[in-house]
Amino acid sequence: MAATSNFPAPVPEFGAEEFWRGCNRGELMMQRCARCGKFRWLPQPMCPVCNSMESEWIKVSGRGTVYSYTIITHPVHPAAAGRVPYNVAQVQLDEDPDLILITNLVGVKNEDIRIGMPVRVVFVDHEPGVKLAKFEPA
Amino acid sequence: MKDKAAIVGVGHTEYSKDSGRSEMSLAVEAIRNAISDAGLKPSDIDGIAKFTMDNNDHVLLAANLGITALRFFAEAPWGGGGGPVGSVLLGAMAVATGMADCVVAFRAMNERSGRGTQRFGRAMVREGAAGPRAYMEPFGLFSPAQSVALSARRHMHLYGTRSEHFGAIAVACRAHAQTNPNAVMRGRPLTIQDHQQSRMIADPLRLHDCCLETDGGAAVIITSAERARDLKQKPVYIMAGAFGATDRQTQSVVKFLEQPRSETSVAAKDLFARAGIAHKDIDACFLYDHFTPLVLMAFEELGFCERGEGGPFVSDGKLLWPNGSLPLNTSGGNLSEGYIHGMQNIVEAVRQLRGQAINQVEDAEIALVTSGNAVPTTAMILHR
Ligand SMILES: [Zn+2]
Repeated sequence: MAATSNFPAPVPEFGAEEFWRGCNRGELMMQRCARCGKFRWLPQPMCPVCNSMESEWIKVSGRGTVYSYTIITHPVHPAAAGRVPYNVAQVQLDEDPDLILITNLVGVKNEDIRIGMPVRVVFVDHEPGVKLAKFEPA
Repeated sequence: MKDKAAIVGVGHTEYSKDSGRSEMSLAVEAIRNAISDAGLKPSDIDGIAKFTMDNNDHVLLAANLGITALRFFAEAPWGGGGGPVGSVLLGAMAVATGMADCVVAFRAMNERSGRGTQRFGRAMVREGAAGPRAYMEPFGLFSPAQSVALSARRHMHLYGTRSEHFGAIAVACRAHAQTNPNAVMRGRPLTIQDHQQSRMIADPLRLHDCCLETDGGAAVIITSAERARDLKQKPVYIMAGAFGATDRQTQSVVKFLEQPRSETSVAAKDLFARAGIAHKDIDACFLYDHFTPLVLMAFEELGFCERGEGGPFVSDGKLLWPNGSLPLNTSGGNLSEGYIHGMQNIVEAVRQLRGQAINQVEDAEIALVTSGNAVPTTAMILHR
């Protein structure tokens, strides 16, 4: 029932729980190498720059720009049928150009979305107890 | 490995929207046809290289075909990226090293009807999104077409690429399918206007930017160059092969255009060095055509033109048989012949180099064949 009426909820993976906990409390948390300070995305156990396995979770500003986007008109999931057309965007965070998150843009008409548009994070209920990091025009 | 192995047999089934039979039935018919084309017997085959994604099992294939001693079995991962060329290269490496004498590489699936294989153009309905999908599916990003749309939009933004440039690839493949009796899209020609009027799937991707979904099978037989010379068909030699991936493929089919390397450029660097030829030496190209923007980007990443020049490169008529200088997917490709996960493009490359193609490229000597761009990929250069 739930599987067809909403997009699937994230299953937090080992080591990435803090990202999802952060979304639920309204903070955008990114993983950063505790040795060399390089941010990384997606979350992973080792820093590809210095191979350290020590990392920390940093609350980032939540500000960024639209890197790219699509307007989906052809539903491929049952829950998409009532939602098309909807946007999916990539947002590049101000802290590091390698931090590019897949998200949805809210508070903007699909036809007004532009690459390079400044945006800021907003946490939107997905289902009870689960919020997702989405972005709105800054 | 240069010229140590050759493709000596090709075969395929009918391509349809609903085969009405099992995937094993498709596999063994395609393989039997390839063995027969080579002038071999099933008992001559001692190796099977398959797509990891293919549901048909090595041992059940051997049981159907009557292969009593299977001396080599392998799988190529990453779907259309590793699969089509990668499975042939696994076979070539096996015969070049003496692990096997004759290897079959194949793909068979009921991808369109869903009798055995989930349609790639539909989302799998699951309770939760795990692994890398956790960062995509909750936002409604499911299908490869949707991910490719993001990269296509970025390419348009950075380089001024237009939807018409993507359309040029679709139009060329469709034109080539019109004379191919086995092509799903025979009898349905396509103009650039038709492309521009086709419905949006995931803006900027239109319907005609996306490959077909098909039931069917295709297979090729690989053996050593020495043995190949004694067989029924003119051998098609594997001049060079290469695999390529980068560390930026953590989310499937999402490309980062500003990166200095892509999976396709990694493979291309080795490929041309190993073959010892230049781009201008290629008489026909068989690029894995899942989505037109990724074909356009593949031309850039293979080194035919600079990054950003793909739009003009594909739009000047060079891809169109018979007058173009670099005919693309001369039997119609994944876009218009049938989506056998790229295996049908390898069958066609072999026909071209034997001089047996319907849209025969005059004096075709050298062909480039790639697997899917934007996933870990494989590529090879063939010559007659
Ligand atoms: Zn580090």
